[in-house]
Amino acid sequence: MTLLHSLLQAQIGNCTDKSGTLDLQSLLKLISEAYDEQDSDRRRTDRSINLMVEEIETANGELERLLEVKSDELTSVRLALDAAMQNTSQGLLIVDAGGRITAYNQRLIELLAFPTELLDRRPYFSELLQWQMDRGEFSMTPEELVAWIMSGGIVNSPPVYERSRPDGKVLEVRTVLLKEGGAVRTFTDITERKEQLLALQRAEHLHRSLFENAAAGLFRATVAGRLLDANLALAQIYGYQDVAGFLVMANSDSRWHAVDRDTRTNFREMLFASDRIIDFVCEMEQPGTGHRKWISTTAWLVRDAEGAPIHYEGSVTDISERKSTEQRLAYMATHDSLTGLPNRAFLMNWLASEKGRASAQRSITIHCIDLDDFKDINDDMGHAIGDLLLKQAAERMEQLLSKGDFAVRLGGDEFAVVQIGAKSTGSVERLAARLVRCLSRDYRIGKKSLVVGASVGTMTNADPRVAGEHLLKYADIALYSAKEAGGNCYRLYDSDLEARYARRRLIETSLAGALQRNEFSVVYQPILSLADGKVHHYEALLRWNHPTEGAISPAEFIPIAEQCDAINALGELVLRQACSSFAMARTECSVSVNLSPVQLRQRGFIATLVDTLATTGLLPHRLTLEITETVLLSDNPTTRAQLRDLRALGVRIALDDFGSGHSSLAYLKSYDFDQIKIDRSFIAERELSRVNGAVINAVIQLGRELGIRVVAEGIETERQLEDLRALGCDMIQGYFIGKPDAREHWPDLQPAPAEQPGSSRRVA
Amino acid sequence: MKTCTLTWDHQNRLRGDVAASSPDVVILFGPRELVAAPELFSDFRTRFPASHVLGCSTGGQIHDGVVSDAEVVGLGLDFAETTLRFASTEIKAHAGSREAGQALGRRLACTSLAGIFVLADGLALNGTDFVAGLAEAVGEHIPLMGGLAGDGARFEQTLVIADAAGRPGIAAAVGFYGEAVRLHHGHAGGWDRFGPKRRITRSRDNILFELDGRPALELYERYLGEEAAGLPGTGLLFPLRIFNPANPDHDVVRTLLAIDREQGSVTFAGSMPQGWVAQLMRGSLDRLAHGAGMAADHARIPDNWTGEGAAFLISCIGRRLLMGQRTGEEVAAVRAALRRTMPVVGFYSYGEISPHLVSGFSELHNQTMTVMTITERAA
Repeated sequence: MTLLHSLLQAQIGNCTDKSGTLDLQSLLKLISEAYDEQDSDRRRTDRSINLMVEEIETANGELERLLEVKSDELTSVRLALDAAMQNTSQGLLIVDAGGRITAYNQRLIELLAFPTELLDRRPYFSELLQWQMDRGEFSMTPEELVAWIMSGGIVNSPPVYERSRPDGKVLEVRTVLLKEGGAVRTFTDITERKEQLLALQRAEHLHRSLFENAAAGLFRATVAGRLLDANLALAQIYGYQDVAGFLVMANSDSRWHAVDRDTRTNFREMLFASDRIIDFVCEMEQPGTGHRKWISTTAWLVRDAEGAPIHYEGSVTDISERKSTEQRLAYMATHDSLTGLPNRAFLMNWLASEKGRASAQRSITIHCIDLDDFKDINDDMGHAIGDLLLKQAAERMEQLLSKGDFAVRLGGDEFAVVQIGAKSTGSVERLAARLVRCLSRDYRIGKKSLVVGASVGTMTNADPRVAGEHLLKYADIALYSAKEAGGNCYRLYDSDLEARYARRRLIETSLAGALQRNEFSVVYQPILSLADGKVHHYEALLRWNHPTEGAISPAEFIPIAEQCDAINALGELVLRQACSSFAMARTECSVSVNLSPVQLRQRGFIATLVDTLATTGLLPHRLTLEITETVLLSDNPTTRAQLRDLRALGVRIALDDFGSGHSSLAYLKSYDFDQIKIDRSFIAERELSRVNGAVINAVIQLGRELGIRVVAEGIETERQLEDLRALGCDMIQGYFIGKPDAREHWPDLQPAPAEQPGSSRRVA
Repeated sequence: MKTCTLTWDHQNRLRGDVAASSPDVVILFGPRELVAAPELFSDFRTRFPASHVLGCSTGGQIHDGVVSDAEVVGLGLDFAETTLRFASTEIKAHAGSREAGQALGRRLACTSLAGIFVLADGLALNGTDFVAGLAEAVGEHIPLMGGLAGDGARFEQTLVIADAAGRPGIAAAVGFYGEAVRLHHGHAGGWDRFGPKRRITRSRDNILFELDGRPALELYERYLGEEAAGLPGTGLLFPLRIFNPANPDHDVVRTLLAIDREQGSVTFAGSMPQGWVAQLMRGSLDRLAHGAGMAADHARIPDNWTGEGAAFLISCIGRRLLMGQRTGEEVAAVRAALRRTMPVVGFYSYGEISPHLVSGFSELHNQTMTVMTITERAA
């Protein structure tokens, strides 16, 4: 039996019952079903295959299309990549996993001077390095770095490093390792960047140095006022020697704060309003110690691009010294440096202020004080001695003061004492008297004992309507009154003084310009010689024709001129005119010119006189200088020397007003005089009295003995003339002989017609 | 270990080597109608009052080397040393498949657990999740063997017997404990992949909506052609091989369970993760049979082993559908590979559970022949 297919066997088995009977129908059915199953199976397979083929074809088509797209994409990417590579500013080098150069760009060639052929043959990276090494590429690179570069190939290179090329460029070399092996290396030219960095560092350093070393304190603070930075100078202002320590303090509770509570607000308002503050002055105090300092801050606000404030900064100077100088100057402006007393400016301010306003309950008295003859001391002894005297005088004054009163130095030797709330006229006068007494006591300066007098003018005011400044004016007037009374006394102001003061002021102020305005003129009074009854001599006298006041008598203006130093100019005027007139006169008359002690004291006087004589051409013996006794009072060796010098010139000296003052006959012994002029007081009566006559007689006798001519002044009657002739007087002068008149009036004094040989005119 | 083979049908009732002593467990498989019959269970319960009774409805029974549809076949196992534990659980919802597996596993977990034989409702749960949950609970190294109940090619209702008459919506298992028991297993497919790889572009759980953006059902209808009218049953002719593109070597085969004409979707017996790659498979008789033989080879008890054993074959309904009358050839191949004296029972299921030969982790398989042998060392 052939072997049956297993299926057929199974089918037969399924259709055979237990007894072995085969059910043919069932068998045939099963067989048929089996064929059906196979057919289905076959069809299924065919279908599957066909569908599969279809799908594969579709998939293939899709793939091809995708491939094309991808290829195009790849090409675009490649082009883009190439463009990127060529256009980047960095040199690029790509090395594959095997160590071969696979790509590079043009910039690499430029930067590293590779020959293109070298790179095109795709050398190994190590070959490239060796090529570079052989050409000294790494000559500027430190050895350790070169060793590192050469040792490990590109994979072991340091990821970033910088090196200098032989051509001076600085390169930054970066290596990026790729995941699949290989690497990308970039070369960036950072030469410029490095230079900029260096420049920046240098500038930073410079600025930092400036900041650190500036003499002024410098700072930077946040907008809120927190200190960010400071230099040493600022720290030192606040007593710190290190900036760090200072900053800690400055931002803590123990920082210095402004004495004035509004300072901080004011500062910030000004700063934020105008973005700048210059010379903001304020006083700072240290908490705890209470130390104070004046500082000046200059600050400015720094804003960002949008205009918002970022911080502010500025400089600080310690102006404590400046402040104290200011304060000292302010003090000096109102105080006298020599005596330490307040000065005129102080007094004027005080008088103008509330305190200087008088009231019925609180009177204000000013004592104006002038030291008599101080000018002499200053001139004779020198300013050093004069100053010491003034200082002592000031001390004496202060000692006399009650509480609340004060003394002031007005200037020169002028002082004022302000007495406040004096109870009565009596207390005022008492103080004035004490001032006079006290200030005129001897001053002991060195070995010398000096004496000056003190004149005091006093004015009391209890009327609040009277302005303070006027008080000073009144006291001043009273002072002049005291001076007029001879000094060394006090005078209370009364209204009569006003007028006299006014007149005096007028003369004083007019004198200066009067000379320029030619208000002065010289007149001449003849002196008769009793021997021959002729006039050989004239006295030159000064006349002033004031534009508003008319003629002002010399007796009035001469003393004032002497006090205000105008006398020298006036004296010189008289001298010059007299010498000039008499030099040109047709007669050989002599002229007498009055000499003020002030003139004589003037150092250049002799020189001026010599010059005048030379210029005018007057012979010295035709000039007589009349001096009064006051000149001789001080018995000054200088005076004596000068008189001697004058006589040595050939000039005659006459003693004027003999007998009017101290009249010490001893003067006649000490000094050589050519003339004595007897004071008019002796000639005053219509006829000489017995006493006067005796005196005159004595003087005449004396003169005859000594060879001194005697002149009598004030002759107004013939009787007087006869009396004097009888007494043997040499010369007489007076209205009876002739009134003083201008040169034109006197024929003797007219100019000589023409130059004559042998005349007394000297060629100038 | 002693075994006894049993059969049951309405006419003849319980037959078999009943004289055998009381087995610890009786495992039986039968067509749905018979499994649903309360008499079936009551007969067995009466005969074996002290035994656990575990079984399910099928797509065909395997008894020795023969496949039949008409009767219930069963195997009783009587262990000398090995202890057993029986557990069952309700499957509350499809989404609760994992929890159901975990619940079942928790009742069986033990340090001396050697292996588990499990049967579960084939339509009511997600087999992949269920097996994963069970493995989680007992430990991934514990061999899990068994299958999902079937319902011929009808896919209407599947029943499980768990010490009670057959019911849908439950899973039941028996655990074997101790040193004496040995379980061997093997599985093989034998299906050939064909056609292009496709991407699962839309899916949810075990429902496949789209492949490469086209409705999944459309693909099946095209390939089934005249046989499309027989869906979902004929869908078994084209299982789907799926794998994670990140892990292309570890593929699983999925069986079609149901279709939805409206959605154009196809439901499978296991998870269909979106993004995975799918490829159609087709079967060739020879290779399927050969595969079955290979599976049996893996499950062989070593030749030097003394002691009785039994073999359970759980194959896939899809294979039966393809092989038709020649289905017996695969069973014969298994039979030939195993010891002559070893009783062999099994069934055609909607999903097979067995440890993966490569990974060792127990999984749900489809379109696969799984063979399990159980033996106890001789006393």
